[in-house]
Amino acid sequence: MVSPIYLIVVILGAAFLHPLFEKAGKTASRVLVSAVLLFAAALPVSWFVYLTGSGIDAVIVNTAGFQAPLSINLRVGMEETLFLIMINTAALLGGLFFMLRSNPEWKGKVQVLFLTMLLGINGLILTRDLFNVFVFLEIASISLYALISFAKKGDAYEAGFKYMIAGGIAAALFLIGVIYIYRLTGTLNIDGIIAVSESAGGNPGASGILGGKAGVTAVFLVAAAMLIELKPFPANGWGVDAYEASDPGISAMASAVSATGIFFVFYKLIPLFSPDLLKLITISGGMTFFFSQLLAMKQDKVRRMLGYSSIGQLGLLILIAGLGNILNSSELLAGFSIPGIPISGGIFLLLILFAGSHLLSKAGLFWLSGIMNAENINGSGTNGLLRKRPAVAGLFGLLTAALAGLPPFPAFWAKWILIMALAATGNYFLTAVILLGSLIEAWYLFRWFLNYMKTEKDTGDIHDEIVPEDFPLENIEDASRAAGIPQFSSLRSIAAPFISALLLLAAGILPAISLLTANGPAGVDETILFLPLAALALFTVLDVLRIPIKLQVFAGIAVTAVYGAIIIPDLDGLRMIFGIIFIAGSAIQMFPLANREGRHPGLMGMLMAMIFSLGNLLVCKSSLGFFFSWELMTVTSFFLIARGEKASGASLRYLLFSLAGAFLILGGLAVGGSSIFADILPGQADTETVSTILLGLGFLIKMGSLGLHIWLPGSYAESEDDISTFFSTVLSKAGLYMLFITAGLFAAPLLFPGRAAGLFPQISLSSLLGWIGALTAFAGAFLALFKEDIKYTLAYSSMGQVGYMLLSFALMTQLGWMNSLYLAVTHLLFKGMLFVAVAGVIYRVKTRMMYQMGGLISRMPISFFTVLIAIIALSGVPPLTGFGAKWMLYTALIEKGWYLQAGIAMFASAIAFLYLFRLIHVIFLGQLKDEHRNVKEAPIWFLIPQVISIIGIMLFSMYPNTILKPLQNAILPYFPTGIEFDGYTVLSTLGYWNGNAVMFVTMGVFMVPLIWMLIVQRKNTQMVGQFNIVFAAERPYKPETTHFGYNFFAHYRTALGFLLNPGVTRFWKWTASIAEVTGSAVRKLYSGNIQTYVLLIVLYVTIFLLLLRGGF
Amino acid sequence: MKDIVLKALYTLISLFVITNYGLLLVGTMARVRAKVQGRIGQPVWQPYIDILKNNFKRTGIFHGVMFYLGPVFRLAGGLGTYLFIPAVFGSVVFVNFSFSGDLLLVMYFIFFGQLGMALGAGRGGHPYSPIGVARGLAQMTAFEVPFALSVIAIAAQYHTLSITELVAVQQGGVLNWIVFTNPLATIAAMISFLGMSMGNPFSVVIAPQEIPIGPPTEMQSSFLGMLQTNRAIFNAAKLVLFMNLYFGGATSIWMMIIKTFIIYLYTVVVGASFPRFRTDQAIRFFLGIPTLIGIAAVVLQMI
Repeated sequence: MVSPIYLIVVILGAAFLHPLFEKAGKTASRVLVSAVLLFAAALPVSWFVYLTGSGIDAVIVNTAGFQAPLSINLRVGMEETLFLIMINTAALLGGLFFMLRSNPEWKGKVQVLFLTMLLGINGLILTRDLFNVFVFLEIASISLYALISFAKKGDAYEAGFKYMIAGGIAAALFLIGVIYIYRLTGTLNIDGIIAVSESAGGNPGASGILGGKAGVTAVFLVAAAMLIELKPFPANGWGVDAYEASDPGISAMASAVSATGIFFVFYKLIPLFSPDLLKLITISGGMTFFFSQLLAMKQDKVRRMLGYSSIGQLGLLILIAGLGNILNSSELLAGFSIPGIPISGGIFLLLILFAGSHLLSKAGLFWLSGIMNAENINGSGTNGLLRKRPAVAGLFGLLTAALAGLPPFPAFWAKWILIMALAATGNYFLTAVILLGSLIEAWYLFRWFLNYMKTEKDTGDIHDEIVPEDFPLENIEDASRAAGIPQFSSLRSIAAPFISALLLLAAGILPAISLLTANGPAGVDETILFLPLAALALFTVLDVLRIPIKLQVFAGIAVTAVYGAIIIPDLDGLRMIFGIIFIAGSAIQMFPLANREGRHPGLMGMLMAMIFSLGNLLVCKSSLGFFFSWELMTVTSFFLIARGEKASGASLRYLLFSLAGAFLILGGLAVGGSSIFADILPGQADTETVSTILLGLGFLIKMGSLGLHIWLPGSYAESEDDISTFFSTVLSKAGLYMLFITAGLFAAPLLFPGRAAGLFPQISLSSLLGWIGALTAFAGAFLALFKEDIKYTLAYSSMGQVGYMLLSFALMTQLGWMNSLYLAVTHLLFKGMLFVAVAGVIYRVKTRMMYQMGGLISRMPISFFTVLIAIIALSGVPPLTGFGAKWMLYTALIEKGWYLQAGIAMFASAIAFLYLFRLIHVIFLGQLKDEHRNVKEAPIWFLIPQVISIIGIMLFSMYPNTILKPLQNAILPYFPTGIEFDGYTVLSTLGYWNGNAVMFVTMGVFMVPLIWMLIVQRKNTQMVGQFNIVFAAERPYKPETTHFGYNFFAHYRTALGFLLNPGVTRFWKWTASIAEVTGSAVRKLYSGNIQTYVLLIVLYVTIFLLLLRGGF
Repeated sequence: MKDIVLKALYTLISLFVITNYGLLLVGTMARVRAKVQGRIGQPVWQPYIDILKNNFKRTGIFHGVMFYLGPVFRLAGGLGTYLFIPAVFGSVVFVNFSFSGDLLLVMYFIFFGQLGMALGAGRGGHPYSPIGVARGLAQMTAFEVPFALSVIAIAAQYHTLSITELVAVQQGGVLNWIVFTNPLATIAAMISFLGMSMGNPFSVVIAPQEIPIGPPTEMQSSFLGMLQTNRAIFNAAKLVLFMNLYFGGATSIWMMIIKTFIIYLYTVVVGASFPRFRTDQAIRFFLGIPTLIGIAAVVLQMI
């Protein structure tokens, strides 16, 4: 093994020799620095190989020929090695970034300072001598002050100065602490101090040498100094100033190298800390994490936001470190290991995952901010341009997702384990704080991402239709103008963030392997869950190879079909139904994508990943497997929505709500503890109510239930027209599926602990779900009524339909469940038809405003026919499938005794008629506009899924048993007694329905008048033109003034418009504003004035000490 | 085979009876209305003359296939609605096709014709057609609420949605009629019925037809004839439905005629006595007191 001394020697030597090389030329010095950085990154790797190979715990190297207490010793254990690998790799990438960047040039003193900073951090990690820690800390800090000022701007000098003052205070505190510790223990060697304090008191801080007032204060001073270096809230203003003002490359290093290294020192010193101190440290860490996220949310400068985010992440690390003893008792954490790393269990693995993920992603984002010249969050001047740089955009998205802890990145796995361990040890409050903080973090990170991705037309806050002021005829022309490709300052240096993203991906797969394969904690092999990632990778490769989109779509359909053919046959009844919906439904609806031309990077990859993660919900066996697939589905669908032209606001809202839902589910899983995947049948649940409520809320968010629906209309409507259909017809049923397989939880009567138990004795959550479902059905239909924008109409309509499914599910009766599944299947057909047909119409007429269309039946008869069939099926008019749903719904509701819900459902279904008629009338009937006289029928790719769906609807309408019997069989395990069939007649306790007979009677009564009409009108009948109408003695002026379409249900608005008051939206805006106001209030602490900062540091230390000592 | 022929024959008889009865009813009521207004009015057989005249007009113009099919849909809806209702309790001839489905089927099949007609009228391109449809549909959603609540209440009361069974439980005396066993439900439904029959005060729906514009003028010749035929049949079908639901049904054709005549007369009397509501007023009206009555009827079943 190469001695660690060489690490220090080589870096230091290079720093000293650098001026000589510089004399020889820029290249020589660059080669030197690169070689040293490479060496520094490679050496720990060699140690890693040595340590794992030899099985040695740690190698202690003494210096100066003396044994430890007399000399300084360096320790190379697995922990040091792993941190050094991470930090030095980041430094290597940092060097790469600087070197590839042309402006400012990478030369001179900066290189020296960079090396000395790295030297300091490496020394900090290796040394076991407390005073030596101080020395290396000073080396690293002083180098960093200088590096910060290197940007040569006023605020950079100022920031460097502030940093120096704060660092000076920390150093002074540290030194005083060290002096006292030396005085008390007689040694400066950390191991020695630990040994002395433990041998005397058994427990550091209790009664040992360091347990007295002096000892406590001494250890406190050391801890406080390290905390200050780690920038705790609120004593961290100087830190963010530095992140903001310095060169992005330096900020990256400050965050990735310096802060991570100092954190390791803190980690190393933890054995000295007493439980009381650790508790306070935990609190400080938690506060830092949470408030930094709030503050980051309020920032409008990119690097300041990233700075707060860095500080927040360090807070999280401190929190975990402080909770070490508690967390280590959790079973999950004890059994956790990462393949290839010999350490198993314990918080260290968590720390390495969080730290590694943060280090690479944050450095990557800092670099990227430099490359994109990103100063402001709002991204002025970059609007839409990033879309022309798909590689940069993709990288941006990857790094953001990694930082936000989304799958498959390391922080995702770490978060899962952390939350599970926290909940298992009863730390519910911290669980909530961490999840809330993570949510805020995802919010501001993706807001930044979306601001840079959005197009020029996108104002970023579009959640509802925007009806143009007047008739905008110019809207017809395609407004997508060619804009230039953004010029980035030095695109070459993107290699650095690119490599970080690759490393992050690789690092994310490792824990996944240990957690999701057969030797993981769940003990089941779930390798198939990686399929979405494989698909994403595969289609990304196809994108890179510039395979035409048509071929990609066909490949996608084929792959989906194969996937479905493999997994669906092995599923049990209920899962098979949903498998068909998810997989076959998606495959069919992919056809319209084949109509696209040109390049659509990421489209198919994300779509395939989304479909596969959705399908994987059906096959996952462990809670983690489920959560992984669920989150992956969320992320991929978010990126799909964000592709929309004006979808940035809506997609952000989608992400927020989806993540909030996912975190609620995570909380529910953590609190509930038991796996939810042994299908919980009604009447078998024993899980706590709190867990059930959390899970239920998570599922309801996905379904867009009333109150939690405000993400829905924008996401469905603003996503691309041929993509929306997937969200409405397929994705919205993921929540329903989860409700079905966890139904037992909701059927059980509510069990509240303690005094609340007596309050609601008989109520089960399912009755609450029933009301939510009924009101959602009503609200969806009612809101759809007044939309001029066809996609918003369909979006709200979907919301209402899912409400019916929820209502039927909540009945917890056989007929109810059958209807819920029946609706899920038929909704796929008719809503798919509507979305696809409408996408075809929009594709042809280039507007989404219904009143701007009209009379299209003569131009697009097939689309008209599809919409006609779909609205008949949706509205429940016999003889098509929809009536079956209505019949089962009302029968089941009345059987159950839910009369009022039945009344609401009937009202909702009547209102559905209104918007459906309006939809078909205003688009296809009435007056054809002049500019649409030459539009063609929708392209064949749009018609294929329509025709397939029509066939499906007709088949199910003619022979309802073909669908009813399989559905009945699917739920046989839950409801063993079947409903009765008498031939084609379905019998309930209340009534009966024979779909087949209805069909024949209808055909009969239709044929009679038709034949009559054909006979009496066989001659002298002529078709006339559009304006040949009896128009009250006047002549129609033009189609626009003759077509009745705008504000179609004005009288309804007059009568019931007060219901449109967006109370729910206001509630959520109010919630968001609380977060913003809190953020603003907290931000007032950060005056930018160094005196305030110093005061905050002093106050922080003083209050900390007072709390520790319990008073003066 | 014999069964099918027999069933077809019965269906034809049933349809023949209801069509003629419906037409005569329309003619009679027009006369009643005229008397109220102090006019002599048209002859009772005027609907026959109108229909025949319209069907044999020499010219007919149309606006495309959907326009052509609109009246067909409309009449099919009327015929179907009637055929799914058992018209006379215990009669083999008038049982129609009620075995296909229960009350829910009838309630939803009513929309079949309305939807088809609305589409046909919309295809005509005349702006007043969709205005009328929008008003009609909007009013329909409102009067459906008390009616639906009423149906739920009686379904809960008798644990059946089958019309035949509902008639069966009302046999054996006037006091067994639902109008007496569940007066609240009946009141709610009868108020809805006023909206359903589109007479005053809920006639603003057909206002575009009164001035010479809108569907009746666009739909001329045999199209109009078909609409007029349907109006008679559909009207009669609704009357039969309400008779079955609330007034004990009918055990003979004569009983059916008497009962439906009285129910229809009720709408005419109300219509002759009140001015009309605007659409938004009608919506609010139906969602007000009648809905509360309906809710009361339902809540009574829950406790």
